[in-house]
Amino acid sequence: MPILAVRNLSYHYQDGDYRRYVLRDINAEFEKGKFYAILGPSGSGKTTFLSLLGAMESIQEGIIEFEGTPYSNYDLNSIRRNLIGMVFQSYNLIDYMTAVENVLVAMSITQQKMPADCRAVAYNLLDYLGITKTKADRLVTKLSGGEQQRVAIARALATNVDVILADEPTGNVDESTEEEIIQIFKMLAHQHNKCVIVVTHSATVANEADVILTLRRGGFVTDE
Amino acid sequence: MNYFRRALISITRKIPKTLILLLIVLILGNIMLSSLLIVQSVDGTKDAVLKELPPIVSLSFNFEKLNEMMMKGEDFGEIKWLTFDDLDNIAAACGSYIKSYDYAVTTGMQTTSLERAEREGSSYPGFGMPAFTFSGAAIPMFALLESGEAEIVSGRTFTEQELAEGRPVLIMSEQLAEQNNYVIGDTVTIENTLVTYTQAGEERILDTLVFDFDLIGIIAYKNLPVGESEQTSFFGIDTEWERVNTLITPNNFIRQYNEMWMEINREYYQELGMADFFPEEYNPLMGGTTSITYILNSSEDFESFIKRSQDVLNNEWYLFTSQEDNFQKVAQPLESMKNILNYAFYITLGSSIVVLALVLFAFIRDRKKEIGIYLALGERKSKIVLQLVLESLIIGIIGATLAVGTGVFIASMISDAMLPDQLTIEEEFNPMIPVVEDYLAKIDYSSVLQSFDIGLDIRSTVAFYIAIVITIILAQLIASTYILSFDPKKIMM
Repeated sequence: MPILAVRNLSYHYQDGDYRRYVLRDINAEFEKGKFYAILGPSGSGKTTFLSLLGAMESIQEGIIEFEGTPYSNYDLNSIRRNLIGMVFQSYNLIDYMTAVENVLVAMSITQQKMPADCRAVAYNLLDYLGITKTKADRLVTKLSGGEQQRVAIARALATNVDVILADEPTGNVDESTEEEIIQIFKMLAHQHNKCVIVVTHSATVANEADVILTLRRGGFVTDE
Repeated sequence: MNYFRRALISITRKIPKTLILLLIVLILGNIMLSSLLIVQSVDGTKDAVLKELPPIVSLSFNFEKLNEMMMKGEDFGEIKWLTFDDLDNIAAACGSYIKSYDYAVTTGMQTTSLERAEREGSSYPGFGMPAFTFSGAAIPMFALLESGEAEIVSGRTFTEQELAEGRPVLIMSEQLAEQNNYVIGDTVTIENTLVTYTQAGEERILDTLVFDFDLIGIIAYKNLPVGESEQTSFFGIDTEWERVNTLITPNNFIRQYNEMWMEINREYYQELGMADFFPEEYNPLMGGTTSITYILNSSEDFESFIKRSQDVLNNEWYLFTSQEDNFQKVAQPLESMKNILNYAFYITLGSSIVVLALVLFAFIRDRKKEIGIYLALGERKSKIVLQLVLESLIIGIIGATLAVGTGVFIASMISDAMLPDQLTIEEEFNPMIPVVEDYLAKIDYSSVLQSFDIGLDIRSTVAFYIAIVITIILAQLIASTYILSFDPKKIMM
């Protein structure tokens, strides 16, 4: 069973009396253990699609299912809190907190069962992603772009979710860091059985993905 | 890391924001606290001053109203004089408030049998034979004694029987007794000459009455004036000193005497064909020269007693005056300051909510991204608001605590600036009749100022903290309504 299934998903913007559809009758399935790249020209609705998958906004038409249960059965907050981890292009970390504190914030919000010693787990997670304890105790503003994105990934993973959604995660980093981030996503998908879905413009990222979904004329063309 | 921990991190790491909020709370807190302290100190002063005084309410004729009407040439019709039925009705309706009440029927006698005791350096300003005021008593612990204005230094007070029968027994001041070499047990014989003056201005003696009084008590007044006399009545009589020359006897004796005096005068006026000049029935309370003194059980009953009595009496010619009224007259600057600062407190409270709400709103705008992150991570908006309320409350309570340290000092400065050192009260209306006296204590401004002490008690402190907490919570909730419009997608993506 796919972990995420999208059925006849449509999304439009109301422009006066006119509805401008960004997404129309989209169908797709996403499985654990795979790294997906979503491509498409600017304004094609990639980010809108990701925001709908990430429960950042309500579904207008169609269905998204998490392990067979429609999102409509959940409160959107609880999907973000317990089922999905998100990584953003501009990292979106709390700037007056340290790296480890940013991870701990997510762990305190989720209702997933968390280990007793969250802080130790957060350090380990950061360390696993290449952030040493010394750096983990620094304010995130003192870290490089690549390091901040690793912290953002650690935060997304900290709640022990199976789905990681990333919106242009390598958009603000240099090439070598981009490669490192890609390797992390591949590792999460292949070694930790996560479903990683990345919206990107980067050919490098797309080339490393298991599945590339190209958004075209309101639907996806799949290249495996 | 729950919202409480997040709030602490935000406070300790976002120092400029914390300091701005702390400063605002400190300033507003100081204004609020100093207003609150002054308001409560005035109340405290009033309580302290009134607690020291006997709870007395005086009921007297409103000469000021009569005077105003006469000055304006208004027709005031027939005056509704107080009657004994009125007093009975008040006693029946307000008995639970009244410990005792007394009234003094008064009269005057001209005699050469007694020498007046004059204040040092002054002399009797009247003409003809020396005049003495007779003031009656209704109860053994008559108002002068009950109010503490005077005390018996020798002998005793009246018995119930003497009062009821109107026996010729006398209590006089120690000065008058000394002037005339009287001691307790002496018989004071007063030959009272009833004199009138013809239209031609000639003195005519109508009758001479001789009374033998038993001197049963000698009293000492507590607050007699010293030095040269300043306050004088219509006839140049020293009103403050005049009570020294006042003789106290049972009311019923004076009533009998007044009836006798009226009969003698009636006969004379009948001769002149002016018999209508005198009323047919003698009402001792007529003429407004008698004030009724109510001693209440507690000074807390002033307002209730006066309101109820006014309803029962229903006579606009008479006024109830309490120690509280006297306090308010003397402590007028304190009361004015209290009223101003009472408004200042509520205005500051209201404006604090607005100012803080605007500042906190600006802080929320500044933290929009952070709040978007919490929302993207699935945090409930209610918990985000709770975190913000906690942050503001912690800073607010620190600010309030600092304000507690400075508020007393600022309140003292404000009160020093607002209160005059001395009080000049406009000269009161002088009824021109020295026999009218109430037994309300003379409260002076300097003693009120001495009792005025700005201090922080638990009540003020708790009230202040409650005001700060309510202000901050309300301001933060108002500012946080902005969060309701936050859309994590728009903020984050």
